Amino acid sequence: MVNKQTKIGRFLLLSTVSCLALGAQSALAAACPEGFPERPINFYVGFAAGGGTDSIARTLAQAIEQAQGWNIVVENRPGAASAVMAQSLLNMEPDGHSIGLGSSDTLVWNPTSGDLDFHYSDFLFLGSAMDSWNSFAALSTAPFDDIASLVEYTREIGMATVAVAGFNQTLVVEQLADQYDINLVPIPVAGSAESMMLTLGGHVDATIQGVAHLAELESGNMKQIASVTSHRLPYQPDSPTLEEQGATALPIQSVTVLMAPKGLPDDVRICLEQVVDEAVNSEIYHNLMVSFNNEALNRGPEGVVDLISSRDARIRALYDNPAN
Amino acid sequence: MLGEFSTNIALGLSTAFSIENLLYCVLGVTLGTFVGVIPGIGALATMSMLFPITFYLDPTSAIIMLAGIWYGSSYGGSIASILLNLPGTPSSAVACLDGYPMARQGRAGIALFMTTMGSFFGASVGILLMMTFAQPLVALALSFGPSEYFSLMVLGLIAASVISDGSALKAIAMVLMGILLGVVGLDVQTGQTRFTFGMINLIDGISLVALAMGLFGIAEVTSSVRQATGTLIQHITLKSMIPTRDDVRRSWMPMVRGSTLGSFFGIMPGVGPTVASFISYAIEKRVAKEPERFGKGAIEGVVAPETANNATDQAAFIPTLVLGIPGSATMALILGVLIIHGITPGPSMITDRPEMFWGVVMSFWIGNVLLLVLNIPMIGIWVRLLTIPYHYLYPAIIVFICIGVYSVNGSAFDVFLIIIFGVVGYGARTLGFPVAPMLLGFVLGPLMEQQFRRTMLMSRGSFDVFMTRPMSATFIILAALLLAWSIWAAYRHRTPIKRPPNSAIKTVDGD
Repeated sequence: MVNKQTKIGRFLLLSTVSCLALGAQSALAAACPEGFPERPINFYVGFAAGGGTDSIARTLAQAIEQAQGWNIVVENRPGAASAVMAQSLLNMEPDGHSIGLGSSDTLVWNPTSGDLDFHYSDFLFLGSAMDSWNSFAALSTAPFDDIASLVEYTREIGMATVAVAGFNQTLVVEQLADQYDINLVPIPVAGSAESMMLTLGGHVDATIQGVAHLAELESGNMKQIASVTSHRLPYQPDSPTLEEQGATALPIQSVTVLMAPKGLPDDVRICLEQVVDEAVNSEIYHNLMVSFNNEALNRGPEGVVDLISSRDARIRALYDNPAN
Repeated sequence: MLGEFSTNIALGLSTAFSIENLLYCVLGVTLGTFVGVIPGIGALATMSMLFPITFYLDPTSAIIMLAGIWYGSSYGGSIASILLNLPGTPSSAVACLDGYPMARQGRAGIALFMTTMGSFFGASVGILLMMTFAQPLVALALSFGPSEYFSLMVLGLIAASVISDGSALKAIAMVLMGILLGVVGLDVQTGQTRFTFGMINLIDGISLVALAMGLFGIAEVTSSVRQATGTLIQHITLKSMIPTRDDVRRSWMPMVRGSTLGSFFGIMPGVGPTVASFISYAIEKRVAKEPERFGKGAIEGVVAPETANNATDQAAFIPTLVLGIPGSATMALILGVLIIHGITPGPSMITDRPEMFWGVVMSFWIGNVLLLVLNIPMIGIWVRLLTIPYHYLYPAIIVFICIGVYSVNGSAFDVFLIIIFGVVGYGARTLGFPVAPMLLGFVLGPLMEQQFRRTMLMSRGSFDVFMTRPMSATFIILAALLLAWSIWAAYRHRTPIKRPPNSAIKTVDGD
C-alpha cells in the first residue's frame, strides 16, 4: 500500500515536474508575463520575400514557435531599404505583438535622407540577428591586390571606378578618395546584381559587395582587396581590414535589427529580448547563417543602440566638419 | 562534348521526371497561367507568397515550381489583354493593341491560339539557348557596359516611337509623361529623392504593376461602363478558333524575330519582358508591308510581343543561374531559394550541382509542353468569359486588380495609385492620348537616365565613348538611320493624305 502510494506520489511528482518543465519551457530563459502573447505576433520584414532579411525573419519565427509555442505571422513590408516598415511600426501599438526586422543603417542619419519621419530613438531595439559584412573586391586580373596598390594604380592612370550599391558603400569610397587624395570614383547602382555585372564585365575597377561575390571568390575569378568590416572575415582570413591597411574610412557596420515601437511594458520587453536571444542562438538559425556564409550574432539591445548612435554621430561629424 | 551534352540532358530528364518534381512543375505552371490571366495578380506576388513553402522543399523542386509560375504567367498574361483589353501582366499590355481589336472582330480564338503557339516558340528558343550557348551569351551580356545599354535604349525608344496610331505629338507627350513618372523616387546616383513630396511610399518609385493596371485595367473598365450594353457576346464557333493559312503565314517571321529579340533582352539583367514586348511590337510595325493594319487587329502585333516576352522569361534564367546575378525581383526570389538551401549561386553551380541545373532546364521543357496542352483546350473556355455580363465581370476585375496590386508590396498606397492612374488613363483615352507609349517611357526612361549618367561618370563627362565603343556606336548609328528614315517616311506620307481616306481603309478590310 505504502509502496503503491509512493508510486502514485512519484507519478504525481513526476507529472508535476514534467508539467513544470513544459510550462517552464516558455519560462525557461524567457520570463514572459502571464497571458502574453494574447494573439499571434506579427513580424514585419523591411525587405521583399526571398531576400536575406526575409529568410532571417522566417527562421527566427520558426525557432520561436518551436521554443515558445507562440504563433508568429511573417509579413513583408518592403520599400526604401526597410524605411517603409520602420515608419509603419511607428503607428502600431507598443504591446509586443508587432515586431519589425530591418537594417540598422536605415535608422542612421545620412546626408540625403534627412527628410525621413523617424529617428532611431523612436524605437525600442530587442536585439540583432546578424552583422552585414562588406568587402572591397575586384577581378583577379586587376593590377592591384590591396588598398596601397589600388591607390598607386589610381594615381598612375588618373582615375579608378568602384561600383557601389547604397549610401554606406558610397561613403567608404568617398572617404578613401579623400584620405589618399586620389580620383577614386564611386559608381552608384541600384543593387548588388548591377555592381557585379559592371565588375565582371570589366567596366569598373572594383566593387564593394556583401555576399554576391562569394561564388566568384571561390572560383578564383575575383579577389578581395580589403574587408570593409571592423574585423577580418572568416571566409577571407587573409584579407586585412581597411583599418589594418591604414585606411581611415569608417567600416560598414550594419546589422539586422529586431525592433518594436517605443513604450513597450517592461515585462514584455524583457520577455521579448530573451526570446529573441534564444532564437538567434538556436540551431536552425545557426544553420541558416552557415548557408549565408555568416555568423549568428546578437549584439543585444544596448549593443544595437550603441552601434546605431555611434555610427550616426560619426557620419554626421563627417558631413559637419567641412562646414566648420 | 556531344556525349557530355547528352549525359547532361539525361541527368536533367531523370531529375525533372521524378514524380515529385513533375507535380511541382504542374502546380507551378497551372498556378502561373491563372495568376497571369487575372489582371493585377502577377507572378512576383504569387512567388513571394509561396516562397516560405520553399524552406521545406527540395531546392530543385522549389525552383521548378517558382519558375513554372513565372513563365506560366506569361502564357496567361495575354488572355485578358485579348479578350477584355485588360492586360493580365504589364508585359502583356502591348497585346491589347491588336489582340482586343481581333476579339472585337470575332477572332479572339485565333489570337489566343496563335499567342499560345508564339509563347511556346519563344520559350523554346530561350531554353535552347540556355542549353547550348549559355556561356557565350553571358560573355555577351557582360560586355555590355553603361554606354552600350544607353545606346541600345535610345535605339529601342526610337524604334518604339511608332507604337501607337494617331498623333505623333500626343504619343511623344505620353512618352515624356511616362519618363517623368519613372524618375519619381530615390535617385540612385545621388541618393536624393525626386518628386516624392516627402512620402516614404514613393521612395522606391511608382510600382509598374500599379501603373499598368491603372492605365489599362481601371481605365478600360471605367470607359466601358459608359457604353456597356450587357455583354460582349459573340458567336463562338469552332471555325473562329482555327487560324487561317494567312494567319499562320503572317505569324512565322514575327515569332522568329520576337524570340530573337526576347532572348537578347532576357540575358540583359534589368531590362525585362515589358521592354522586350513593346520593342518587338514596334519592330513588327516597322517591317510590316502594311503598317496601317496595326492597332486594328494585326495578328503579328499579338504574336510577336507574346513570343518575345516568353523568350525573355526563359533567357532571364541564363544570367541568374550561370552567373548568379538576378536581373529582376522574380529572379532574385529564385536565387533566394538556392541561398537558403546553402547553395551559392554562381559559376560553380553548374559544375557542382549539374543535376539541379539540368533538372531545372529540362523541367522548363516539361512545363512549356504542359502549358501548351493546358492552354489550347482552355481557349474555348476563356472565350466564354466574354459572355459574362458586364455587371458581374467588371466589379470582379476591379476587386482582383486591387488585391493583386496590394499583394505585390502589401501596400495600400499602391491601391490609391491605381485609382489615380485609372483616372489618368480614362482621361487620356477620352482625349485621344495613347497610354502604351506612357508605359514604355516609364520603363525605358529611368533605365536610360541611369545608364547615361553612369557612362558620364566613367568617361569623365566625355560623349566620345558612345561612338568609340564599337557596339555602342553601332546602336547609335542604327538609331540615327532609323530616325532619318522615319522623318523621311513621314515627309513622303504627307502627300497621300489629300487622297480620299477610303483607299487606305479598303486594304485593311481586304485582309
